Amino acid sequence: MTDAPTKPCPFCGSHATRKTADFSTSLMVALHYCTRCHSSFEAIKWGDTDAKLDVPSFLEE
Amino acid sequence: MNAPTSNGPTFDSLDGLDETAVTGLRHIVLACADTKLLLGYHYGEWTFGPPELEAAVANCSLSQTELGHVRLLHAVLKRHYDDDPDALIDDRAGRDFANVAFLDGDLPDWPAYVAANYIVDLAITRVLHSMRGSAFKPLRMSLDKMIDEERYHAHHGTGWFRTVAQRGDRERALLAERCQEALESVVTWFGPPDEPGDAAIVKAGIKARANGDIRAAMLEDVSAMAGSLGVELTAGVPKTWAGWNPATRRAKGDGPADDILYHLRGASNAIFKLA
Repeated sequence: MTDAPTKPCPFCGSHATRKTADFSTSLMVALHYCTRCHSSFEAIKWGDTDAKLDVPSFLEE
Repeated sequence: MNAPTSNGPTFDSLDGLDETAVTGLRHIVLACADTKLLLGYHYGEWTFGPPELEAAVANCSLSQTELGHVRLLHAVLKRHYDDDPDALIDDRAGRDFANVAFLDGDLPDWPAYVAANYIVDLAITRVLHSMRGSAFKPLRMSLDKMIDEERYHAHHGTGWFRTVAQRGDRERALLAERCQEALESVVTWFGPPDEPGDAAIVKAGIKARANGDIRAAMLEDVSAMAGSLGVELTAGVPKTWAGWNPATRRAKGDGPADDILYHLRGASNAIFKLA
C-alpha cells in the first residue's frame, strides 16, 4: 500500500483515515476507512501515487 | 504484443508440433482454465461476506474476469483440440480437474480468500505471462487481454495481503497459515522440474520459461514481499514426484468438492440451460 496523504472522511471531515484497498467498486476509486467515525468510504484516484499498481515486477509496464 | 518467446517457427494450429508438445499445451491451458473456473467460483462466493461491502463488489468484478478468461481458454481448446467447453465444465469428474488444489474446498475466511487472490491467482498469471508472444499464435491475442486484467487482480491481492499482514499478530498468523497452504499447493501444481510436456512446449517456443523456473521466481518474490511484512512463507520443491499426474497436476486428492462443482455447474437449474 502506498504512503499517500490520507483522504479526509466525507462523513466527519477527519483526517484520521487509512486506505484499506487500492481499488474498490470500480478501478477509479480506492477504499478508505475513517478511524474516528468508523465509516468506509471511496475516493477517486487522481493519478498521483495511486497511479502505480502494486504488482510484482514481471507485471510492471 | 510482447516479443516472441523464441525466434523459431510460429504455429497457427497444432500442425508441426510434436505429440508431446501438443499434449503438454493442452494440459497447461486446461489447468489454467480449471484454476480460473474455481477462482471465478470462489470470488463469486466472496461477493458476500468480505470485511468491506466494497470488497464484495470488487470480488464480483474479479469473478467476472476469471470466468471470461475461462471462455477464452476453452475457445482455444475447442478450436484446436475439439473439446466441448460445456463438457469441460459439466461432464468431468472432480478428480479429473487440474486446478490448484487450494481451491478444492471452501475458502473459510478472509485470509484464505487473500491467499487465493495473492498466491494462486498470481501463479496462474505467471504461467500465462510466460506464454505472451507465444509461438502458438492462437494464444497471443487472448493472453494480452487476460494479463492486462490480471494486473488489477495482482494489485488487489497484494494490497489486501499488505492490509491483513499489518492488522495485528493474530490476523498475520492466520494469513501466514492460509498462504502457506496455498503456496504448497501451487508448488505441487507447477510440477516436476523436468516434466516432458512442459519441456516440449518451452522447446517449441510456446512458453518462454519452464514451470520450474517460474516457480522459483514466484517463491523468491512471495517470500521477499511477505517477509518484509513479518509473514514467513517457505515452500520447498518436493524431492519425489511419485504419482504426480500432468493431466491433473496433483499426486493425490479428489479435486474440487462435489458441492462446489454442483453449485458451479448450476446443477439444480440444469433444465433451464440455454441450447
